[in-house]
Amino acid sequence: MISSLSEIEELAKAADPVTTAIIAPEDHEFMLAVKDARQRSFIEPVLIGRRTVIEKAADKANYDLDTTRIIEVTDRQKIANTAMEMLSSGEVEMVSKGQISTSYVYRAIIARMKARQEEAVISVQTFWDIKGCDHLVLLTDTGTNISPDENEKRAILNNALQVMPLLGYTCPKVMELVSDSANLKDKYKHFKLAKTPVIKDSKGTYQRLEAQVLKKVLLGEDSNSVNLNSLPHIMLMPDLNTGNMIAKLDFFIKDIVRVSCCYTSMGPVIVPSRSDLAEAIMREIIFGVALVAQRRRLNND
Amino acid sequence: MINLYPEIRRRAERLKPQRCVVSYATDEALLKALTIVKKKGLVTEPIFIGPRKLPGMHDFRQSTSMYASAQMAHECCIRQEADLIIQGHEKRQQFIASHLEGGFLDQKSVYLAAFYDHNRKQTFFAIDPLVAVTPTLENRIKQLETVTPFLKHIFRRKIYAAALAPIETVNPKLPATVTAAILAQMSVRHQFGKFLQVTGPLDIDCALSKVAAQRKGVESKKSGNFDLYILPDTNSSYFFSTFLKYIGKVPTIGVLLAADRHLLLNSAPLTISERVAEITLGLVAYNFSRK
Repeated sequence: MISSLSEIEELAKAADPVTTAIIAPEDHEFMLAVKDARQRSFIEPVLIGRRTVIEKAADKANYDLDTTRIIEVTDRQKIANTAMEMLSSGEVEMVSKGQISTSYVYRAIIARMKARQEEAVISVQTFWDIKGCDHLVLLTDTGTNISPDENEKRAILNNALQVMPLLGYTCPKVMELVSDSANLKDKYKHFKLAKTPVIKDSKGTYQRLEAQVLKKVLLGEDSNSVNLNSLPHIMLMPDLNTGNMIAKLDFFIKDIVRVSCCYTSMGPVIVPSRSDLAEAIMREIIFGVALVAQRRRLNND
Repeated sequence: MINLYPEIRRRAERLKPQRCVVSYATDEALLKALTIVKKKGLVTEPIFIGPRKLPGMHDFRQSTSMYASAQMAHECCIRQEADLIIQGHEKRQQFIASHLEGGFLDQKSVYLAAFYDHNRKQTFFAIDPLVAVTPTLENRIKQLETVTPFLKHIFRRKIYAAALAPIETVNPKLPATVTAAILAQMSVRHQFGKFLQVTGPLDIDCALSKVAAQRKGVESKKSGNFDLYILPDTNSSYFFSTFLKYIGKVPTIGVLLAADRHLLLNSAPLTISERVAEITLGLVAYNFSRK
């Protein structure tokens, strides 16, 4: 079981470079990360977007584009579509979002999944490497589903269960987050709880945590000290408001390091935030490379 | 007295002693905290309601049920025996439910959570992890009307608030972005008075980091330095508090501000120092509302 992002980096270092379609790397920070990732042989990038803007960003990052493939596309949606078509056809093994609104990327993924006649509920998986916790924690969905219903939550869970085995979590502990106050309102009929727990029958693919209130899970029996090791491996977020906000708490909590991806049957699509700096983008690229390396290994097995 | 929450400590310095009633008091840590607060002259002898008398409980009244304890605490306030109700060891659901059913919580009621930022050595606040599950715009406005004067009293200056949403642009499919934009515009027009400036919609990275805001092209001078975070709903707010407290180890206390009277909830586990701070916050709130 991979328990930290440093182990992830070791996996990525051992892998052959991953051909990666980069959607609109039109920003200095993204270009710095791509340059670094290529120099360190993590990826072989294919840059898709407006050539002049890409060249300008590369120039600022001191990145010589002579041996890098660029596909010139100007329309934002078509840039994302092109990358996803390349992933679907196997021309690339990974896609990374650049300085572009995430909605273009999500639309492109959904369109491609529909074309492949796959279930088109996509979700973002955010992994936390928390100091003092002996495993990675996956939070989902942190990016796409505004107010998921039961079926959507099941799909979100299934998406998470696709990616966890790649990291060695064969039967992860799953918890559907419900706030203490929601229980209160439900119990006293001041508010009918709209969302019912979706985690009912795991069929052996995961362990269900009985407690739904995070505080109870963290505090355990003695109720006084926090045990981060008791955090579940997968936390299902109640909605997008919560998922998005919690996922980015690393901006405040320095003991958390975050990476996110949108894992699909075609391969990982990494989705750095537009606010991320080169170091954080690089971390996400490395994470994606490690996932591809694990996919390759499983396919070979 | 309390090393954390310097703003709250300053506001408590000139308070006259108040009377507290503790509902379902079985918590020894609370007893220790009350002893400290009493020594500081902030409270008089507290009234303890609970199943059994513990050492140090001089004014004790017996009640075996949690629900009955909460009701007895209420009656103490109605008879003007006590000013502030403190939740003891009973379940929070039962404690709040008794107050809801007693009609003591209304649309203006809001749970104000206070956090201590070790990096800035400063207190910041958030609403509302408990009361309005899916707040309407009207709820939000009323909550801000309750919270703003109190925060102005605490900080003695203009309050800077971030109205949070999943993205920083207005999208009708995301109601939080619309509410945040309306609150921001209302503050521009001074509809909350001149002492509250709301910026929004802001996603959390833009609110917490000036660099992140700049990267996303959001102009926000107060990014990384807001006094108040207005979270979209109870879920996001509850988990914001929970994750900060348990994973971020951020000292977290709170008070339930209501039109009629304020309640101190037991947000255990708290250190004695945090419990002292929480009681002090409640006393400051009570004193302010009485004015």
